[in-house]
Amino acid sequence: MVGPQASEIRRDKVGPTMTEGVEEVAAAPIAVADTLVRPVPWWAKVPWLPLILLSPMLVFGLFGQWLMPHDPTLIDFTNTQRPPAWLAGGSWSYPLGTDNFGRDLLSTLIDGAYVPLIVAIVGVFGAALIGITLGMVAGYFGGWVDALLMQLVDVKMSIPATLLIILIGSAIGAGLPTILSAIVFLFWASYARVVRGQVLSLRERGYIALARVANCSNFWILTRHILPNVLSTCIVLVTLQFGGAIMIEAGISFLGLGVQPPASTWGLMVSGGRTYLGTAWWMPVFPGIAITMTVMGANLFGDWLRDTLQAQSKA
Amino acid sequence: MFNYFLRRLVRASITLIGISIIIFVAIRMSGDPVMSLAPEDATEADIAEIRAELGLDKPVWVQYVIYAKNAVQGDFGRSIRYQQPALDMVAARLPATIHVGLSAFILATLIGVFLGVTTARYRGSGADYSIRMGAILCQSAPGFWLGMILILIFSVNLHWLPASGRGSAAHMVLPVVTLGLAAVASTMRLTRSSMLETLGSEYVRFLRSKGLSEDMIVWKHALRNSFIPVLAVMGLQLGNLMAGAIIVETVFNWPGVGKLMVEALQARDFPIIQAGAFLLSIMMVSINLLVDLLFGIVDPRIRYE
Amino acid sequence: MNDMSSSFPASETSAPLLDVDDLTVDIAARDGKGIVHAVSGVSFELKRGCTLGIVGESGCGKSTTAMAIMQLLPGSAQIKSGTISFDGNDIVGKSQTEMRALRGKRIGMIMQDPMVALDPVFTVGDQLAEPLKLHMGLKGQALLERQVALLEAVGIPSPETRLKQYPHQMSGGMLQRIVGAIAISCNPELLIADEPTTALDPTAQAQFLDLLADIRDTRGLALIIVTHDFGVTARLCDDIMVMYAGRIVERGPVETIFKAPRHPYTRALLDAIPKPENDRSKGLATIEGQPPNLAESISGCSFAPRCRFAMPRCTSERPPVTKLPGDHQTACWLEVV
Repeated sequence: MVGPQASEIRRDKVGPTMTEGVEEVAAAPIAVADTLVRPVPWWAKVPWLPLILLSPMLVFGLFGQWLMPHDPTLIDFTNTQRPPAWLAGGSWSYPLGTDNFGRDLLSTLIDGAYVPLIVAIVGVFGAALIGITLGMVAGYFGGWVDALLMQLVDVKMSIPATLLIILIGSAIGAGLPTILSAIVFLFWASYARVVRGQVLSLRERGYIALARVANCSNFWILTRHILPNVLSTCIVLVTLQFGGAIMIEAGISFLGLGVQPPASTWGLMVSGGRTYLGTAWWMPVFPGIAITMTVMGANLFGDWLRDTLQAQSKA
Repeated sequence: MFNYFLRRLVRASITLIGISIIIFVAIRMSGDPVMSLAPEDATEADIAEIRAELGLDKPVWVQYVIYAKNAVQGDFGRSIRYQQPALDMVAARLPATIHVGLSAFILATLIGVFLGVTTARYRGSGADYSIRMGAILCQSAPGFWLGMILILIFSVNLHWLPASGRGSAAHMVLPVVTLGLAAVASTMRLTRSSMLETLGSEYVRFLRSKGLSEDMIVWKHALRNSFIPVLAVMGLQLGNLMAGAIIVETVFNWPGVGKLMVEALQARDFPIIQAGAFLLSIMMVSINLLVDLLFGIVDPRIRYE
Repeated sequence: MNDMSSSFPASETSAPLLDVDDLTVDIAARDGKGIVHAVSGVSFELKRGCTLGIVGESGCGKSTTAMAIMQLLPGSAQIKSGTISFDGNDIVGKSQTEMRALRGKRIGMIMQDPMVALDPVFTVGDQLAEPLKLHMGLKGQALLERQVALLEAVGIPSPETRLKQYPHQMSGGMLQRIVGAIAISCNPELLIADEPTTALDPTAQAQFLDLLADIRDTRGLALIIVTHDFGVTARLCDDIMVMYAGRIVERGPVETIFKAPRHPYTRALLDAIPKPENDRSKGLATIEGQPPNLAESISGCSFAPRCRFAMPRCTSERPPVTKLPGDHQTACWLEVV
């Protein structure tokens, strides 16, 4: 009887942002419990905190154009570096203050939500598509195909994220393609691993053998029988990785490898505001708060989703 | 045990080859080295000559072989800016990176494991919930922004700690804390999950039936069993911390490999990027190999394989 | 050494060692919807040195009852009502610290699957030593001698070598013996064995049952064996208690149960055991239907839907316990005059 190898455990336990760990299983504390689980009303089951945290990104990203109090591109050198409204020198017509060009910070913040939102969604879905396909193929056909995939995953996991970003940025220059490629390169492996694992176990089950006997093509078996089963795990991964993608975009922008001005993202606002940290701290701080809120909301939502889906599948 | 190590070594070597291919492709795509080396008034013939000299007229796979051979000998070319061997320049900055990366790692492991075990044991308590929320917060804040916040509070406002550079112990605090916070959170969550899974095992129930105290079950048995999966991830984490130092080094002006690479990126100094990438990757792969070895020691099932 | 045994003074031998009265255990259902009544109104006594077999289908509450005695129920379970009296002291509601004085020292436990009962990263000797060090304060040479003696008592050859080995290096049968050794290491008065032979192959099963009998006889232990296999009870038990849907349906001496069972469920269970002399053309006897859903409250007798002899009264009123001659009792309307 042999224990698991470190590399296998690593692959199983590490999620997209290294924040996922082993799934939490109900512990067995001892003997008499104080309260038993009682049925809960529907409104207590809604994950309020994650949704609240995610709302700025979603609301600003989707409806931003109609919500901005000022034109985010309006430069006004008479109005530069105004502090937020509640501090001396601030005014409520510029609630979060203004930047070094006199632009209203709140408006630029709203404006900067759109690009990260779209990039994160597109990037994560791209990673999912590639990862799921590779995982299904590797798990189903096994043999050298599988060995090759596992080696690729090993390679990917041995290159630190920031390093990969630098390499991609160096290879294809700054801009949107860099962000998207980085997200895809960093996230595909999580899906591939998970899907491959599920496929390997599903492959042995009866109904796959029956489908084979009935002469269904491999493709048919893959899409109709196996795919629905792996979907719920992948949905959880997607939500968790959304937060990670936002972080990656921010990091790429910080290194100057992301979209360039005049396009606007929160990450750019933080790196642009860095020099003003001592004089106009609101410039980098508020966009950073926005990023943190969004990532946290995505993580919490993903956790909630995973717990809910798990509970349902056990019932 | 020896077989196990041998297999892992082969695997690691193949991984290194894969990484080298990726670096090779990335650097080749980055820019035509000829154009940056050729003087302004070079003629077509001159350029062709330089190209032949660098071996760039040969087929791609031959170029890779030459590149790999050079890499093994430590020859990554010369820095375009400083005209010194790239590897030497990178290696000179390595101690600084290891300094901050390793410190953050030790801090993160000690605090993270302790918090993970404690929150698992007192699962459901208020402290458990708030610590876990705090951990998610630390993991959700971008590293460079977190560093800025710390600078804002401790340097700009309180004047307790310096904002940049390397020198005294005080210079180390902010970079290490910034780098370590996300790692603490990650280690804590992983340890906690692993502990909870272990505490639900059948043998824990049997241990309880022997009348052992909860302390003994948690700190002697459960920790050792839960630590095995945590150990597997910690190798990755150390490597990630070394590389994650790239961002922290930039924020705090810490003179390490990361900062050098970012400057090289902006100056299109590809030999430096290449050398740095190689060094960091080799470190990562070696650390993982070491962890696998450690695995064999900690988990007796592998030892007697 | 933590000696809390003073809170559990030993009493005279005529009083029962274990007295369970009207025990009810509820478990929260996994999906959060509702409560499962795993054990309802279970009452029985166990005298010192006697062996009781608890028999029933999966999910009938027999393991839960055993775990409740040790206070090792999972977090989602709760003892709703009833008392469990060990040596005259009620242990329901005792603190964990107080229970730890009992566990391993006065009550020992053997679990179903020996492969998962032991911690894989510690040697067998280390795990055997733990209760000895804790409850009996043994060290050094004395500790080693006792470990060797225990392994010999459970029939393990070359004990010194085995002590240094890890669980994954041994077979299931051998591991279960070691589990047995650990359970009896501090000379407990009561041993609870939860399906001890289910995970073993038939040869190992027979050997282990012999071992249990041997241990019981030489040490005068009281023994509770939870099992779904009547054959196990035939070999070892003085009394048998049959459980169904969380309740006791029949209890009595082993001979009486085998030769003259009174409850239809017990009869059906015994009939279901394949015997060579049965008429093969009729096929195996089974009990039709499924055990009831314990999340719902059941009116009347729980077995009524599957019972050949069910009367209208059976579905509307729960049958009382009828005492029969020879320390035999059953809960069935057929027995009520």
